[in-house]
Amino acid sequence: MKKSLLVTVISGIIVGLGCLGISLAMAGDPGVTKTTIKIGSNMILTGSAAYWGQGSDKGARAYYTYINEMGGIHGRKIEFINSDSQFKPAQAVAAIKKLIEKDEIFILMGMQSSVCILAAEKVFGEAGVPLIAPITMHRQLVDPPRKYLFVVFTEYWDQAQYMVDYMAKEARWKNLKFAVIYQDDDFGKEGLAGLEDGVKKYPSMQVVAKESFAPGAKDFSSQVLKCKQSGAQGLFLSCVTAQAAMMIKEAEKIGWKPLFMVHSATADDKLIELAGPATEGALGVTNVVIPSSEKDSPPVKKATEIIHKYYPDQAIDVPTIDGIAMAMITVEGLKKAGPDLTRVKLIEALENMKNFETGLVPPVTFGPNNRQGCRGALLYQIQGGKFVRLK
Amino acid sequence: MNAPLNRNRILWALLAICLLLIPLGMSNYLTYLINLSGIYAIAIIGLNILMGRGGQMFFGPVALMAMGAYGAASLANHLNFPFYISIPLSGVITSILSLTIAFPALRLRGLYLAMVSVGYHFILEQIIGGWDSFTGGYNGLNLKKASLGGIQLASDKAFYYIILLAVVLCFLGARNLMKMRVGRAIWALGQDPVAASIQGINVTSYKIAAFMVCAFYCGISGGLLAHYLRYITPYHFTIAIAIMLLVGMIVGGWGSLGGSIMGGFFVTFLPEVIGFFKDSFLGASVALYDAQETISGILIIVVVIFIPKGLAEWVKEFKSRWSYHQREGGDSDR
Repeated sequence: MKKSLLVTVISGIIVGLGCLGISLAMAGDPGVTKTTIKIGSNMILTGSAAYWGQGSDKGARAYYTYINEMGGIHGRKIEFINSDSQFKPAQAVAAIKKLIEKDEIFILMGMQSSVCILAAEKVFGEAGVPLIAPITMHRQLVDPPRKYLFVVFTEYWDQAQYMVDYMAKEARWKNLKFAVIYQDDDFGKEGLAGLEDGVKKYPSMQVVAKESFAPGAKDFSSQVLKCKQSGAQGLFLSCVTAQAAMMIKEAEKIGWKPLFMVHSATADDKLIELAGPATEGALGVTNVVIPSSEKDSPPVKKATEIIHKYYPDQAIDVPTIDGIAMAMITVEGLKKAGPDLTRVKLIEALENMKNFETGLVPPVTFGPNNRQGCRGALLYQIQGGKFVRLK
Repeated sequence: MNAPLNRNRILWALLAICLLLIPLGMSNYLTYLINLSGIYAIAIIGLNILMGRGGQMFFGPVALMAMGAYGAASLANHLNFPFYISIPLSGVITSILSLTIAFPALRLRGLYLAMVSVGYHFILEQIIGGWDSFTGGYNGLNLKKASLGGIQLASDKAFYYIILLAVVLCFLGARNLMKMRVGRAIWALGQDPVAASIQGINVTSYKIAAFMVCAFYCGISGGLLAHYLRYITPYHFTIAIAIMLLVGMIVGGWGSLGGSIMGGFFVTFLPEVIGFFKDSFLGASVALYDAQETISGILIIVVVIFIPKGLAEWVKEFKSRWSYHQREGGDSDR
């Protein structure tokens, strides 16, 4: 009796360990089952910048729904779980904790606000959850590059250079005297540095005035006046839309008509809406197409079709196009990772992404040491109250 | 007469055990929210001492939290002080720095002090944002993981115990302070400064004392926040958060220390509760812009009209009705 009991117990333990071993071997990453992939995000869904989050949410969600209706990715349907940061970093941290622990997401994508991302990185970075294609840009996100963080958008430094390079080839602009008004933080200073470094390359161009302001400032009369007095012919605004609009109106008020220049944080239809006809002739460099001026291009038409299928009343604006473009890049990465889907495989697949065309952003290329997907940008000019693509 | 005393002791012991065991069964997400509640509760205790008891209309507690946070971060980053030194020390430094508002406040009352304190908050915000060599400006400041004797304490559960200890110490400290001469003088000052000075209370000294105590608490709160989140920016210390602390104080109970704890939970859980209702019942397509601020505003109005002394008073009433046979002499938190 004792011997058979011993045998039973031992075989029980062996079978138990065997099962444990098999289940451990089969245990994949969280958020992936045979039929679903859970993708999480955190955007500015409420508050004064809510149109960014709401637009991007719908853009991404529409694309994922579209992909699901076509059968999903290797047979798996995407479940997209978004959350609100209200532009408060502590709240973004709570939301990401919830997504990782309660919802058990596979990856994050399309997050907004670099401050919120950097705060939440303490959580998702340490948990090994990749973040693909955030809808923002900050030097601190790519410097130093992280294995799990794939940034698509070009830095403002790159964008400013791109614009200056173009201008240097145009007779009307190659001798331009620039003034710059920049937000007094890394975000604003990056645009400033990009412009200055670009101008340095061309002896016929100069920066004759630099003025700064604190984030959240609402009065720019002294900065605009000083720039006017410097004799500058062009004014580069390294800031966000609301403030750029205020500065343009301020210049209009004091009767100054320089060539305005803005980068991707500002170059959208809202600028024209807020600042009116004073924006005529302004140059805008962007990361993503400005949909209102490219309504007839096939990629924008396709995107519009997809978004309106599920959200017929959604305005096709820059935040919405951001959302769908980032979703396209995410889906491409998931497709390339293959049916045996793990975070490691996804990271590998993204590293092998070369010149992936969405038609909405410049071609996306990553690499083993490259976490900056796009180089180069798109240049527009406001003509007749609309953005017109120059290059 | 031993029976009620023993009963109370058993209840306190049960509470202590529950508090100690709670985090073992909870998700990091929920622990994080409870931790933030504790951190904000400490700041609200400070605000309650200055405003709830001392009657000083002060809207700058978050500026003081910021001083505590950046102070503790600098002590930890540049001088390598461990968190259990940098946080209290930062509280003391904030307390001293609060003299910059305490002295001007001596000449101001009511609405004027309120306006000046709002101005003070904005000045502090600009200083934090502009002094980027010290504070990292708008890009924020990172901190290393807190460690105790070589063991790193970064998890939400580890910080639960640290924050629990801090809340208990701060609560007991405040309660005892309110029973001492300082606390009674601050209370008298809050009731009627003229009557207080006729009674021989040096209104000036005690006003300053009230500011310094509030600053110490807010400084501790900020220091805990910095070491816990390991990343602070000016966006962590906005006027919106100051307003939320005020709402928490009012909803919890004006002048009530127990209410401060409730206030801390209110401040942290309100956005999560709103989010939950929105997702479950209304669907993500309903745009509740600024829901949190709107609902907070409505809540202040409702509380002030119907429960002017806050939730803490509600709880006390409930308690006293429930145990009216065993009514004791001393009061628990007044």
